[in-house]
Amino acid sequence: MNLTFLSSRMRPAYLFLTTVLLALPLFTEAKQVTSWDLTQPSAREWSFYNLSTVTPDRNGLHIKTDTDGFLVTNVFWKNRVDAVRLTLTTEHPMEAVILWRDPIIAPQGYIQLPFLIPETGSSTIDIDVRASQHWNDWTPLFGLAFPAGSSLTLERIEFLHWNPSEKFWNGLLSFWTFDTFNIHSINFLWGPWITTNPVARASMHESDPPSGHSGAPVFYALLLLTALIGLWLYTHRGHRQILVILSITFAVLWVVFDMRMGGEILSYVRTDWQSFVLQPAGARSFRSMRSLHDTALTVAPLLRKQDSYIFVGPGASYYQSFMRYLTYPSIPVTPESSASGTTLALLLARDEAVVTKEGLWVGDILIPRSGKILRQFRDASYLIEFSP
Amino acid sequence: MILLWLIPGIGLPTLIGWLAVRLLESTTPVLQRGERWIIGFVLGMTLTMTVVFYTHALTGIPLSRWGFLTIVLVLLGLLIGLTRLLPIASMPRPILRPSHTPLPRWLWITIIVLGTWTVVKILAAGTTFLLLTPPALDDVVDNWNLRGKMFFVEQRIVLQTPDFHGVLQSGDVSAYPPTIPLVKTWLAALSGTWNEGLINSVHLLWYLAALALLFCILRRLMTLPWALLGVYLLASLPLYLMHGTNPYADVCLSVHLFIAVGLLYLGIRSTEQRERESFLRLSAFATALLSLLKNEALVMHLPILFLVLIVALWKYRGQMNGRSAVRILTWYAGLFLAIVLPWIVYKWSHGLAFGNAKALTQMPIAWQPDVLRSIAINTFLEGNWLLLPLLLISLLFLQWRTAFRTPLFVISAFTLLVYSVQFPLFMFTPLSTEAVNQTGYARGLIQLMPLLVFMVTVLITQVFSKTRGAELPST
Repeated sequence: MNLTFLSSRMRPAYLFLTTVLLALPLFTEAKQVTSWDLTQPSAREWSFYNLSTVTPDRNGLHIKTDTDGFLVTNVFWKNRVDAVRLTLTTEHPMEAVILWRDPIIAPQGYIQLPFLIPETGSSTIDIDVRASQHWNDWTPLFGLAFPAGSSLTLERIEFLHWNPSEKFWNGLLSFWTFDTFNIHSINFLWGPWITTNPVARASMHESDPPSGHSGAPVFYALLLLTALIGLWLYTHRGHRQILVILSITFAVLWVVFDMRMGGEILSYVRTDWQSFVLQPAGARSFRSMRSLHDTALTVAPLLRKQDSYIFVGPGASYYQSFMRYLTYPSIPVTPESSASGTTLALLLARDEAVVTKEGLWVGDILIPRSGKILRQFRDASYLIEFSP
Repeated sequence: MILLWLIPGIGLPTLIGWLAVRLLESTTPVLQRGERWIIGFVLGMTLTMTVVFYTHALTGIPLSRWGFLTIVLVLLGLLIGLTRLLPIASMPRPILRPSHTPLPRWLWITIIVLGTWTVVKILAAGTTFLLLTPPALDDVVDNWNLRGKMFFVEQRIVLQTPDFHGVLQSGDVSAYPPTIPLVKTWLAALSGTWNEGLINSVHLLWYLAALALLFCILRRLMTLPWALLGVYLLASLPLYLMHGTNPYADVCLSVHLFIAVGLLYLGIRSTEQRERESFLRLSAFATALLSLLKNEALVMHLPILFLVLIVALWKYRGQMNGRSAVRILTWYAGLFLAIVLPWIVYKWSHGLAFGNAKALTQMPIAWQPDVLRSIAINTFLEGNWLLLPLLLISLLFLQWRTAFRTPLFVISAFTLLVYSVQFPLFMFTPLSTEAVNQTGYARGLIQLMPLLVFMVTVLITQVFSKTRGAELPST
């Protein structure tokens, strides 16, 4: 391009303006939604496999199955897909799966992305398909798989795509979306994380590592850009303040990073105060461990009077260690190791516990002692007393 | 009100530490008043618990309130007696601090805003995580607090932990030094009850001690704004703040390492022989106490620190006579024998492992995949260290002469060697899980953080100094 008619002072401004004008269409592109209304029975043809019944009517696509099964349909989307939104009604919560075919990775099979339908009744489920690194916008087949025992009605499936300006804005928001205080937070903090749509942002910290990408490279990119600008100013204009420019940029980015991470740690503090410190005993929740500490702290004085007690908690060994520490010298033991004189059992978050005539069943473990539920707590926690 | 027990609980060991430091300084006091109290607290607590541990192991005196107080008061009396018997200069010499021109208004505003932000973060996190919420992390309930509580309940050192079948096991954590659990036992024994807030509060003091000591030592070398910058850099590191405000042991070890290596640096750069020897006696004392905090100090930090000491004495041999060097080495060796050797004998006699929870001799050697990737992610792509790794690497590149050709090499060589030694451990032994799962790699960095931030701050001042590469002003 011949820029000789422009003075040297105008060239950078001209280039900047040109870049903005060329990029403008990217930001004016609207958010796009491809919607399948399944209450229109003839709207779409499905092939289904191993599902007991699939019945389309004016309420949607009724699916009922006694075995694991799936249904698929041919697709061709005009736009990229960032998220899938399902509107459905189910009789049971379940883990279902999104399926698609990738002619290169799995020409005959399907790639799967599990998702949860957490509640009974009507709900809208948003799924971040970009959480799978194998997602293919140009897949010829799209489908859903359901486990045995499912009974649900699919009413609508929407495929969502956000435009660049919305993605940029959501990237900014996700950068400032904080993680929670996890068991790993003493070993590492994920730090700023970037996702580009609200569906991904809503669930970004539900997995480890979070969905999306680390935000730290943004800092490195800005520093590199500053260095390049400083170098350009030095070589073209003779400006020698490259060190000052870089230092100021570095300082500003450090403070921004500090605000981001300090804000996250203060959000841990706020959560602890709101859910634990300011709550009365019996109503306290503690981080991802919900009411378990509250229950343990409530029963600890009683447990400390025993030499040992039976303890059955959630899977992680942390709970056993915590109870051992909390009630020492009284020791929590497994049901199999309990002595005949053990008179108390604490069950934390074990909704499969049942007291029967045979004794106490915890899942498939039987404690063959007659007893009664002394106290019941939130989140399926019980204090059981056995007859001497 | 129970936190009032911190007054005797922290005060008595701090007094012991202060006296020990004064005795080691002897006729050549080199520390400022504030430095002496901070170092007195940090080393005094460790020294007191070490003496309690050895006395208990030898005599069986119970770890009860009166058992503790007897040992502590006798130790205090002995040190007071020694201060009367041994020559000690009555007044510390004033230290000339670099002066600065009046600060511009914008800088004051920046200092106030960032200072307030930092204080709010530390107090909010410290009080919430340490004083007001239950212990929620594995090593707290499996090791540090559990062992402290067991010592408190049993009133003796216990090397076996009950498992969940009701059987006592000689677990991995028994091989850890008992000092930090004993601090908790001491505070609980004084108050007569096991109170989470009281026994955890000492961790916040270790964290604050690291920040305060960093400021004091930086202030010896540079003007107020630069010293404050160094403190801000350390206080802003998210993972260091998390460790400082949760009951883990690595910040405690980090401040001990900072004292041991930082005073070695001050000693090596000192041009006056008596001052140098005074600094190095204090460094020798802190070095010996390291092994009583965590196992990696004995097998990793100590050998590297001795290596750096030998190299430093050789490198600066022109500035000291042979007798002085021998005296320095004798102090290091003597304090090592007096403080560390009993612990090694105790470990051997009780069959305790020498690795960090895993015996080093029993580890198979084989290439472990994914380690380097995990280390890169933890170092550069997460929120643990902000931009410190990039800043450090850039400064080492730009200021390599200052980093490696001035006495600062003591710190740069020590930190880089400790950091490098961990790589083969992670890459070729089953300890790789500590890096791949990110459970252990960052701990090693936490332990080095005050030293790394000190080095970074000194190098930054050198970048902005008009006389680049020149020696920093002498203390």
